[in-house]
Amino acid sequence: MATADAKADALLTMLLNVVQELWIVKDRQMVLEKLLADAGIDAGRAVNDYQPDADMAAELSAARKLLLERCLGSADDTTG
Amino acid sequence: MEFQLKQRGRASIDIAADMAGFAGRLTGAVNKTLTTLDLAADMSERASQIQAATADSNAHWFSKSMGEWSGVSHGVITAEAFEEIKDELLPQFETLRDGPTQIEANPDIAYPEYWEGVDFHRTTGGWVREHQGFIHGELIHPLYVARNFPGGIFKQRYEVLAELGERHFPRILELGTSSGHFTLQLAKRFPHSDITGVELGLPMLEQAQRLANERNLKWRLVQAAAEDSGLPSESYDLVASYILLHELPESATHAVFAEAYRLLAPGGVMFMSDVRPFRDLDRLAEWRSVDGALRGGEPYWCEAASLDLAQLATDIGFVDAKSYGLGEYHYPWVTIATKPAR
Repeated sequence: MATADAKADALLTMLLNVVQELWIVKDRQMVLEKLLADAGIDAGRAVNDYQPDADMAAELSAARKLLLERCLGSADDTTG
Repeated sequence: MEFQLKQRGRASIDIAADMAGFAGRLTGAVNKTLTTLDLAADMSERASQIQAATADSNAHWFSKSMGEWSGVSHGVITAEAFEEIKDELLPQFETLRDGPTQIEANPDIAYPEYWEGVDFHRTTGGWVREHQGFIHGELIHPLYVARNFPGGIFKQRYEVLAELGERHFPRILELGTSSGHFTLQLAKRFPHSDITGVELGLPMLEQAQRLANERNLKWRLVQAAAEDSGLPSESYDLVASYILLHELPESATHAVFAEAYRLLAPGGVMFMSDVRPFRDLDRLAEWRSVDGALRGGEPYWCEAASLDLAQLATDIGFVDAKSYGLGEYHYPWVTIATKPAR
């Protein structure tokens, strides 16, 4: 039986998964921008203005859904 | 209108829309676990039954929390996305003030008590917030709501007009024009008709004006309450609205129907499309509807969904009044009625 503590544990698990994913992304972003800056490219501005084409939009959509399942999927306790 | 979101705005709206979809999936999964319950007719008792049945459900707790987060956050996220590109948009806004569609604004307008100061959809400032017409029409509806709404919210606004048959309506009035989504579909279906739109929120009318002027369409846009338009009696052949009525308390809906009756020429048609009434829902769906309205910032949904609109139309004096839902989801719920011919 899920108690308030069990809910808090589930929430903390989700949060920790999110923190992990977030850091992976931030680390990668910082590395990429440094590499690009060293190569003379203003990555910050380029990223800010970037418009995904259809293929990239589809790739982003798939990655978002995977992220949500990875981080929040433990919320679904409706099936065995 | 040409615009490109910046990365933060785009990514924020994308993840918010997908999170809402994720929560919806959980809600569906929870609903399946509740179908065996013999739910009470009394709503308070029903809520207690559901609370007891879901007390140990992570999925229910999470989907409720996510619904709360979405209700509050979607307005903030889209407003922030707009702010990132506002400087690029304002010149376009200025340009699109010119064109065949002009707004008849009322600087002395007295907002109805039920409307003024209400943060509809939990959006700070409601429909009078500056630039809310753009935020609602170009960001919230197409980029957030449409992604998770079955049936296609723009397609539905056009397809519903098939219920009017092949009749032509030379003079059309839309009550509650908002940002012009339905107005555009009226213009597409009836390209040779004169179209007038009435709306209280000036930022919403400004967005409708932009939609019209960039397509070189001539609409008359009037800032007024739907129940007190100030327009001449018997001046329209069709008076229509799309998802206006659930934003009104019962008393205002009565007044809107009376106003539609006054505005219609004899033989004219009133055509209102809105949310499903409670009587068309099973007890679980009804509870979900009430719960969703609370989370979604819909203060009058329950009043609206409790009305028999066909009966209301008949009581006002309309004839041949009927109400029914379209398609698999019975949405939108259409009310059609005719003003008696002389």
